[in-house]
Formats: sequence, structure tokens, C-alpha cells
Amino acid sequence: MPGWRHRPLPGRGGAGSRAGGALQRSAGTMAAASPCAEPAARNKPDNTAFTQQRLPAWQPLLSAGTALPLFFCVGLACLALGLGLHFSSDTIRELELDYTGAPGSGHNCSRCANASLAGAGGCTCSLRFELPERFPGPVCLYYQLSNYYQNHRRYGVSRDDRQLSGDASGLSNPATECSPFRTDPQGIPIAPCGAIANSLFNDTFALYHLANGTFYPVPLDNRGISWWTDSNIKFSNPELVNGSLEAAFKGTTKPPNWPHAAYMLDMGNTNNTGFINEDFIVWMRTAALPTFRKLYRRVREGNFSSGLPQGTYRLDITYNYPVLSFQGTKKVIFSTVSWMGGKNPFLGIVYLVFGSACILTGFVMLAVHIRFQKQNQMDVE
Amino acid sequence: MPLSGLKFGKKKLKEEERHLQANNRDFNLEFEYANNSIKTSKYNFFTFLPLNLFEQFQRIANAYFLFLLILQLIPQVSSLSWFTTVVPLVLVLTVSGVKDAIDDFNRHKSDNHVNNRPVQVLINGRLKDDKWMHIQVGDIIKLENNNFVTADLLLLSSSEPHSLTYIETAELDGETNLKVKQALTVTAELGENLQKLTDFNGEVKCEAPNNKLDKFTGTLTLHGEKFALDNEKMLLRGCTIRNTEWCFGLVIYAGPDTKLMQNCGKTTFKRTSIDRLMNVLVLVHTEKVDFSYNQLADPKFVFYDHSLVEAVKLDDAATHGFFRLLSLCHTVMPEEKKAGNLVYQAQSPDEGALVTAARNFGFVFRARTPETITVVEMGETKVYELLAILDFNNVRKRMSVIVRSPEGDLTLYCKGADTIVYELLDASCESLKDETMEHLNEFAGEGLRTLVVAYKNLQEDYFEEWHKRHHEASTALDGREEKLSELYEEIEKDLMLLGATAIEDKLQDGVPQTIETLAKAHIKIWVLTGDKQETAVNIGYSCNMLHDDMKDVFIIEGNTSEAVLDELRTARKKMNPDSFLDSDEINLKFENPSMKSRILPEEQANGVYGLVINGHSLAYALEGNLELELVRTACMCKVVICCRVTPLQKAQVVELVKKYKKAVTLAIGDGANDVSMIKTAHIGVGISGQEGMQAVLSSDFSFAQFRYLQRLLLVHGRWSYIRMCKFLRYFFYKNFAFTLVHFWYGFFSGFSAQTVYDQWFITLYNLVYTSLPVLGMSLFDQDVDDRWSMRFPHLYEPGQQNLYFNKIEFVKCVLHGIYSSLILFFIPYGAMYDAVRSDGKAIADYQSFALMAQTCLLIVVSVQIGLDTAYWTAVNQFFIWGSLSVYFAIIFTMYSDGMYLIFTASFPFIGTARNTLSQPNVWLAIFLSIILCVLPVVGGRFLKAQLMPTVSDKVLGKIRAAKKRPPPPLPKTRLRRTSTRRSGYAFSHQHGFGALIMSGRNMRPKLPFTTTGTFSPNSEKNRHK
Repeated sequence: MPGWRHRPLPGRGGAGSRAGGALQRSAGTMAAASPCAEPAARNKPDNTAFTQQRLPAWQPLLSAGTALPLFFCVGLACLALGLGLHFSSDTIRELELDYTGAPGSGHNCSRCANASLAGAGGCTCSLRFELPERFPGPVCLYYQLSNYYQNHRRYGVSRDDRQLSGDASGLSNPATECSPFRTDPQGIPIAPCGAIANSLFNDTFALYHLANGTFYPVPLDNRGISWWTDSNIKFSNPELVNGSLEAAFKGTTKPPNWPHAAYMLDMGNTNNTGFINEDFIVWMRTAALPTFRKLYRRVREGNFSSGLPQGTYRLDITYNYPVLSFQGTKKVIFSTVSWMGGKNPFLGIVYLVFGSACILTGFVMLAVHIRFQKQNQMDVE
Repeated sequence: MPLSGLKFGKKKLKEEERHLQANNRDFNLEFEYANNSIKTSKYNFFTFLPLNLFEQFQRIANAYFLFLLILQLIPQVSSLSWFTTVVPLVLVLTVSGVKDAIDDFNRHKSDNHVNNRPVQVLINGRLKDDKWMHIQVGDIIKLENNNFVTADLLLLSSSEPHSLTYIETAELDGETNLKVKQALTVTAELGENLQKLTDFNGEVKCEAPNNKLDKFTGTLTLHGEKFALDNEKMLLRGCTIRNTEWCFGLVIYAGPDTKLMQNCGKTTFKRTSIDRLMNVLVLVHTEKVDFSYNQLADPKFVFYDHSLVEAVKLDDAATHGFFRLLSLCHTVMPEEKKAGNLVYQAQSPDEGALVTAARNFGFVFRARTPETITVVEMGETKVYELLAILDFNNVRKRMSVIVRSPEGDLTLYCKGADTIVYELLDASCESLKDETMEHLNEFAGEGLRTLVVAYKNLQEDYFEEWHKRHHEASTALDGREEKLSELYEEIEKDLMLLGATAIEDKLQDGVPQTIETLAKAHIKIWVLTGDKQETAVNIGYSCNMLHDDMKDVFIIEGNTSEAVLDELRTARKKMNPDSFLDSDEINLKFENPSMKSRILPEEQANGVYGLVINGHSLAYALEGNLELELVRTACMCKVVICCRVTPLQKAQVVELVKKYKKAVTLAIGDGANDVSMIKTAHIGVGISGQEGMQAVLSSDFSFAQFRYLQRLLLVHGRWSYIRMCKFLRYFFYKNFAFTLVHFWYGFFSGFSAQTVYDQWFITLYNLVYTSLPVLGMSLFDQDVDDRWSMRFPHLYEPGQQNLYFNKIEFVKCVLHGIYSSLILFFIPYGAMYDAVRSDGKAIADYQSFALMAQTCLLIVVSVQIGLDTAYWTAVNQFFIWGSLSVYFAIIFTMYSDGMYLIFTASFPFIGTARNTLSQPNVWLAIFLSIILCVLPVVGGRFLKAQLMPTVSDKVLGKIRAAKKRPPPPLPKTRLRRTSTRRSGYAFSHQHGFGALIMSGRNMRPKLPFTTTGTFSPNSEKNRHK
């Protein structure tokens, strides 16, 4: 096997020879016969930095000089960010009102909750509450559901975006993902089809402010509560037939849980009915987590454009949506907003904790480095 | 012979005996012997797709993905669309398929090239040019000088006297010297008479095709008479005809039945790595001695000592005597086909070298007859009368010739092992002896093989009388050998010292250094060679594998199974007596055959030992009951040399190590005889630059010189290993981080198998977003550059111990992945919980969460690859930044209004990128995920290097410190060999050609330029003077 040997060709004096007569002191130069020609150059790869793996490169090294400043700088940055976030979050005013009306809670809405379990809708209940301080505008009104898995896979796919974008074929022939809410038992296609649309949240709220012994209605703005891209691109009504949306929906039926058809979602406002109803669009943007809040209305009109003053309020609720059957809860939330959105103490706290941990670790690493630097250098020597 | 019995439907019965008749195709076709076309390719145009796909799906990963794909086609089961699996799978299959196709195409090309070589075949009384593949068993073909032997042939006749044919078998068995084959006398008579050859209708019965290179038995029946056939009459495919003008042969085995092909082993496609790397050749220029004064000098001979040339030119008598001896005292055969083009035919390379040296210094050995030697001395032709050759054998360790010069002086010239010849020297050369001894010590110290040359002037009458006795002895019927050696000893005494020669095995550059470096890197080296034992041991010493510091070098050369077992056991007993205790781990293991693992643990010897084992002993040692013994003994030795091994044995040895040792094997070789070994080993390396390219073609890597092996292993191998491990660790990490997020999300999505990410992201994550950065790292990463890798062979060790990727490292990757996935889920979770945008609209929706989580993930794994990349070339920068940019470009495109309007159902994430990534708290969450994922890794690595530095960490620290200084040049010091071994090996190690020369059997009666027989009138005159 020794491929490392020059294989001498016969008769050519393959082995190198060193012949020296004893009388001649042969000088120390080595004799070398090389019968083998240099290998043909055709297989020789290009001598480029790329093929020879000699590309110039930046070789960052993890040393004390880089690691320690990194930890201290990141730590300080995190502390600063954490403080900023924490204080921003603290300035936000938020009020949560639970109106689930669980049996035995003695809640005003318990009656309605029981009624909704029995399948009856249209029950109303009222909540009186105090705002301890002024909520600067714009104040947002959210409803929050918990233990509600809008993110369930089978639920999440149960919609037809083609239909919702106003596509005529989507109306007459909804996507199979919508099953079992694709057609009614008679085979008439449902519009909007699917489980998400069928389970549309349909509680309504009206807010009153107590001033001078009288409850005055607080105007609630339902415009612009959904993403612009949703209400303008993703969702469109089907093309009107003879100027009538109702005619456009002809040949379809309403989702089984709905009291009336989609084109009657907002009877008074043609720009907010059918698929482009903003409450519907907000609902159709399914939540990521089982506890979620969705924007219901904003207070930004009339006397209340600068916010909700301190005082007593009454919230009238039309309680239609049953949640007790799946141990869910329902809340109404009043919240102000800042540059970082609503109240979320999480980021601020994590930044503060991690920033401190970073600086602490930095000191530990510094200590270790000083302690072991000498020893490691000794080892190397 | 019942012919019908052999033909049995379509299926051929296993051949038990081969029966054929020359020049009778019809007869031979009955047996359906294979013809001479060979096929090493695997596919053809039509079978490629089904066969290749079948092969690819045999790999577990591919089969798994196929299974996954089938599951995904069932909507109730799958949470993903089918294209998430199909796209990557098709891509992988295509890339592998194309590679296989190219490989196979090259095999087709090489097959075609071989099959279409021309050869002259005798058909209907005429020589016809045909292609190799059309040759059939029983054909008679004509081969010419330097032709490759077409198939396994029975030699019929040749141009040389006594129908001798010289062949070179290096390609077949790795032996470097020429071999002589001789035809049967009865066929030799056929000569090149085409009519006679056509009428030749001998029938051959012989054994069925097999892989034994040194064995052949058969009979030739001609005119009712039977002749025994053996291996001496066979020319095997893979050999090359040398020094023979032409020869005729009868095809016995063709194509796949030939011994060469039977030895080739199976072709398996090994997939190691993609890169075939080669280094730049560095040529060192030294001034060469100018031999132009001598027209007959061999231009290929290179010599560097100028002082010797001066001495020759100055007519120094002793120097002339020295070279005269070298030109006379040998058994080399000269050949001069064209005037001035002198080619020597030496039995051993050493002899050829010495004669060539003399030739270049002006003492040109030109021709020989049984009675004369013609030498051109400094331009003057002299014919010496050759009176006797006192041939070499292993006991005498010397050879002598007795010649009469044209002037009539009778001289005995002797060359031999220094220890032997020194005993025979005359007392008068005492002072010269000491000086020469000094030189000899010096030469031996450099690992050269030394010889001492001496002469003696003989008295005419004494010689006459001796010659008579010599003649009697050589014709004696009994005790001839002893009588002859007595006579030789009698005349070879009181010699006058002429000088000493030293021969170096011209190893390729840097072989000893390479071997030493590899040994430092704890690589065990076994030499498997077709060479003779002495040659192999010589090479072992000259490349520093064997040395005097070894406690012992065991030689296994037993001729029976028992003897071999005994020798192996004795060796092991010496190395480690404890290994024979009943309590020994391995003994226990093999008493209990139920144990599954055959892998043997390391056993330590009590010192440094070497083992040399002979081919025939190896055959016994490789048999079932002895192989364990062989492995145990051999693995305790630092160096193992197996000599005279057949190609198949080479493969068997590799197989043996693979079977019993948890080791990676690398086979390196340059000849066709190394092919099976190269194919068997985990890594096969072919050395190119030799005539045949078979070794290169079947290798995984190939380069031109052995010393590049050090660079292949220590630099590229090491880099490759580190890259592979980094790749694997990163690959597992990024996929665990990716996948486990879904697990955490399961707790919050009712375990409904909801995906966290957009389907498109899942499809593109491994394929587009994270593939190029890790590819860039796998291509370019290096922790230390090549110089340092070679400087510190220790850096190779972590690879051997599998430190960079093993079960523990895998668990670490998993834990790291779990940690990252927790961060990557719960930071977005916390940030999203109840979150709203700065305008009050909700962003806690599923699509925003998906976008945020996938952006976190992608940036984190990108930062992680940046952290793992130690060597940032422009390409790496481009890949990493490019991948991130591509990600953002793709999401903004896919989530755009336009895409939604065109493909409504496919891109439901419309607007998510715009609405989400414009929010500051989303970015704050992304930033938090990154630092939470990455900083602990940075801190951990820093602390680990400080608190528990590994060997590599320390070397890296050392290098880092030294890097501030300019990099050191590679050490170029010549390795000083400490060997004190001497001579005695310079000859061919077997009985010389002496008898053959003296009998004149290999002399050619008449050739245009050879001087044999009738040379020049000048020489005739001299002779009769």
C-alpha cells in the first residue's frame, strides 16, 4: 500500500542513490533521484483565497475584553428601558368590570347569565361604578373574554377569506374549512360561513355618566376600531345587486346563531354593515390566547373627547353571549393608552430584573476572570 | 463433459470448473462465460429514477419525511399543508439525485474508456483490431510492449528468448519489481506464426473465477497430451507488459471474472463530505549536477554532489575503480531499443539505482552476454569477460562477479552488507576501514541503506583451479548449494576496500514528518503492502514508523494456523501478560457470546512495539477463530506492517478493524490493488500521479502526495469535523427552539396542534431563512488557521474522542433549545397578554402573535449562528445579514395587499407586518427575547473557558497570545532518524538473476541495437587479445 513511495519505473534508477568513494569525503549534500514527474497540473485547483480557504475574515473572540463590557452595557440599557416602561405603564389608567354574573355571585347580571344559558337573548342588566380619578382621553372600551379558545386550530381555520373579501363564488360555494357551518341542513350556503363568524360576540354596551343627579349618555365611537387593512382590503361586501346589499346576499342564509342576516348587522349605516361591520371584523381577527380583550368602542366625542371625568357611571349591558357553559368570564375594561399601548407591566418588570441580573453576572465574571486569569496563563506556559 | 448441464434456463449455475478451447468461439459460447466488458456503473438511463429513489428512501431521514408527507395529506391529522414537507423533500432528493447521476455518469465514462481500448485479436487467421469489450474467453490476442493486459491470459508465446515475458504488477498487487512469466515450451513454439496460432486448438480446464492472485491451477490438453498450468504462465488483467516486444495470450477469464475485478470489492456510495481539497504544490529548487559531459547519462537521474563529478573527471584511480565495480557487479539487464536510449531492467530498485549512478558518472553498463559485460568507461568502450557470478542470497548478504578486463587482469568485485564485507577485508586497508566506518555510521544515522564495495585481484592459476572446482560444484548432484557457498567463501576474502554506497528510499517529500505528526495526533498507522517483507520493513524504518527505541518488533510468519496463533499469543503475552487473565474484560466478554457489542476496548501494552505480519500468515490470522487474536495483538502495537498482502486481504484487514474497533478507518493508496481497501474504509484516499487512476477514481479524496494527508486530516479534516459538529449542534438547536415553542403554545390553545407560526414561515424557515448562514459557517469556519492546526496536532484529539458532538452535546443542544423556546414563547406571551396598540386597537390576535414569535425566533437563531461563527468572511456577513433582510422582505411581500388580492386563500396574514412591526413594544419584546436567549450563552461560554478550560481552550489561548506576534513559519527541519540499522537489504532480497544470466536463457540472439552476441569489431578484437 505505501502510496507514499515513489514507485520506480524499471531501469531508471528509481531509488535515490548516494555513492561515495571512501577516498572522497562526500560533502553533506543529499542525493536525490526523482524519477517521478510532477503530477499533471490539470487536477490542480485554482489557487484562490476561496478554494484554498484563505478568505480574509474577521475573527471575533470571546474574551474578557468583549464579554464584560457587553454584560455591563446591556445591563445598564435594560435597567433604563425597564424604568421607562415601568413608569409609562404606571401612568395608564385602567378599570375592569366583571359582568359574567356567575351563579351565586349575587351579581346584577346573574339573572341574564342564567337566561343566556337557557338560550334566551335580549336580557339587559346594569352596572354602577365609580371612576376614582379622571381618565384622560381617548378612553377605550374593551370587552374581555377568558377561557375562550379562539386560537383552537379547528376553530381558527373555520372561515372563508375569499367569501369575506366579497368574492361572489365564495358566497355561493363557501370553503370546505367552514364545515360544519358551511351550509344549512337544506344546503343553502351560509354567509359569513364558519365557526368564528357563527360565534360572533353580540353583547352590547351603553355608558351613562351621572351628572347633577341625571345619567347622561356618553357617546361611544364605533369607527376605526379595526385595522385599516382589515376593513379596507381584507373584508369587502359582495357587489351590490341593483344597489341592494340584501339582493347581493340572496341565495345565502345567516349563520345559525345569528338573530338576523349579515347585511342587517348595522341597519342604519351602509358603510358598517355586512362583512365590513367593524365589530364583526374585530371579532374575526381571532385572538392568540385564551384570555383576550377586543376593542369595543372609543370615547372621543362631545364633552368626553378629553377623557372621562371622575365620578359615577352606569353601564347598560344587553347580555346575549353565554359564557358560563364553558366556565368563561366576561369583562368590560376602560383603559387609557400611551406610546407603548395599554397597561402591561410585564415588559418593564422583566427588563428591570434582567438588567440587574446582567450587571450582577458581569461582576461575577469579572471576579472569576481576575481570579483565574493568572492560573490559566500559567497553564499555557 | 455434459454441456447441457451447464446451461440451465436463464439462470447460470455456479461455475465449478472452467472449460474452454482456443480459437473456438462456438464451443466457448456454450458456457455463457462473461465477455471482457466491465460495468462498474449502477444505473442506466431508464433505471436511474426508480433505483435512485428507492435507494434514497432507504435512508431513514428521507423515509421519515415521506411518511410525514403521507400523514400531512390527511387533513384531520395534519396542522400543516402538504407543501411544508414537499418543498424541502423534493429539494433534498433532487440534490442527492443529481450528485448520484454525475457520479454514475463518470463511472460510465470510465467504463467506456476501458471497454473501448483497442487490442489485436486473432480471428480467422488474421490479426484484427478490436475493442476490449468484444474479447471472448478462448480468443487469442496479441499484446505489445507497455500494453495493459486485456484479460486474464494464458501466455502462449513471446518475442523474448524462451518466451519469457516481463510484467509489472504494481497496479495489481502493489509489488514494485518486474516479474517474469514463461510460456509452456509447447506453446512457445507457436511464436508469432499466425497460421500456427490459428490452428492451435488446445483445450483448457481450470478452476472457476476467484480472487486469488497468486494461485492458478489448470491443464492444457493439446493433441491428446496434458500439460499442467500454473500461475507462472498467467498474465493477469491489470498488469503491464514491459521489455517484451510482443506476446500472445489465450483468454481464460474475461471482464468481471478476471482476478482484478474479483478483487475490486463492491462499490458503495459513501457520503462523507463534498469538498475535494488539494493543496498547492511547493517546489524546492536545488542546483542539480550537470551530466551533459556524458552523452549516455540518464536524464531522469538527479544528483546533487558536485565533488564526486570532479573526482571522476580528474581520473582518480580509486574513484574509477569504485564506479567500475558498480557498473560490473550486478545482475541488471540492459536494453537499448533505440540507439542511445538505454533502459535498465533491474530486479530491485536499489540495484538499478547503483548501476544508473555509475552510468551517469561515466561508467555506462551497456550490454551483457552470458560471457561478457560491455561498459563504456568515460567514453571508451570496454568488454569485460564475465567468468563467474557469485550470486546473492540472504545468508551471504553479498554478491561478487569475477571478470577479466580487456587488459587481461582478473578481478573479483564484491558488494555486500557492511558487517559481512568488513570481515572479509584485507588487513592492509585498516585506516580506510575506519574512515569508511565513520561515513557508514553517518549514512545509517540518516536512515540510508548502506553497502560496502570491495575488490580483489586474482592470480590466474589460482583462479583456473578455483574455476574448475566451481564448475564441478555447480554440476554436483547433491549438496550443490553447500559446496558452492564454501567455494564462494574461499575466494571472497582478503578484499580491498573501495568504498561504501548509501541508498535512500526516495520517499515522497515529508513522509516521515507526516507520520510523526499523525502519530502525535494519536492516529494509528497500519501499512498494508504487496511488497516483500524486507522491503516493507525497510520502508517502515526509513519513514520512522519502526525505530530502534521500540521494545520489540514482532514478526509473524507462521505457515500454519497454529503457528500464527502461537506467534500472536507470544507477542501479546510479552506486551500485556494481564490480558490472559480470566478476569480480563475482553476474555469475559467473549466467553459470554450473548453480548451484542463486538467493539473491543483499548488495551495498553507495556511499551512501544511494532508488528510485522506476512501475507500468508495474515490469511490464517484473518480466519474466523484467529481474527480476534490478531486484532488484540495488532492494536496493542504502535505500528503494524502487513506485507505481501493481496488486494482483498487489504480490504479484509480494514473490515476487521471496522468490526472490532470503534474507530474511523482511513485507507490511502495509489494503485489498483488499493481499490478494494479504499472502498472499504470509512474514508478512502487515492494518491494520484501514478499511471493508473483506479485508486483515485474509487477514492473519496485524492491528492498527489502522501504528505498532504497531514493537511487533509489535521487541517481540512479537523475543520470539517468542527464545522460538521457546529452545524449539527446548531441544526438541532434551531429546530428544537423552533419546534418546542409549539409545545408551550399547546397549553394555551387547547392542545389543538395550532401552529405558532405562519405556514409560510414554517415552510421557509429551514429552507431559506436559516439555511445560508449555517451553510456559510459550514464552508468557511475555522477556529485556528492551517498553520496552527499543523503546529498543534493535539488539536485533532477532540475529534477522535468525539468531544464536539456526542450524546452529552446533543442533550446540551436540547436543553439550550428548550430554554430558548421557553423564552421565545413566554416573552411574546407576556408582551402580548392584554396588549393593545398605541391607538387602542388590539394586537393580541393570533396573526400578530405569530409574527412576533417568528421574528423573535429568527433573529435569535441568527444571532446564535453569529455567535457560533468564529470566522466571519464576507460571505458569512452576506449570508447572515442577507437572510435577515430576505425574511423581512418576504414577510412584507407576503403580507401585502397585492398578494392577498391575487391569492386570497394563501396569504391570510395581510397587513400583519405593517400593523405589528410599527409598534415599539413589539420591538422591545423582540430585543428582550434576543438578549435573554443569547447573553446566558455568552456568559456560560466565557465562564467555562475560564473555570474549566479544555486542552483546545488552552491551545487556543496560547495561539491567541502568539498571534500578537507574526505567525511562525512551518517547521522545516529535516527529521533526523536515529536508526542504526545497516545494509544487507540493498539487494532484491531473493535469489538473484545470476544463474539466469550465466545460462544466457534470457538473452536475445539478435536485435538491432543490443550488443549481445555480435557487438562491434572493436570488442571482438579485445576479447581475443
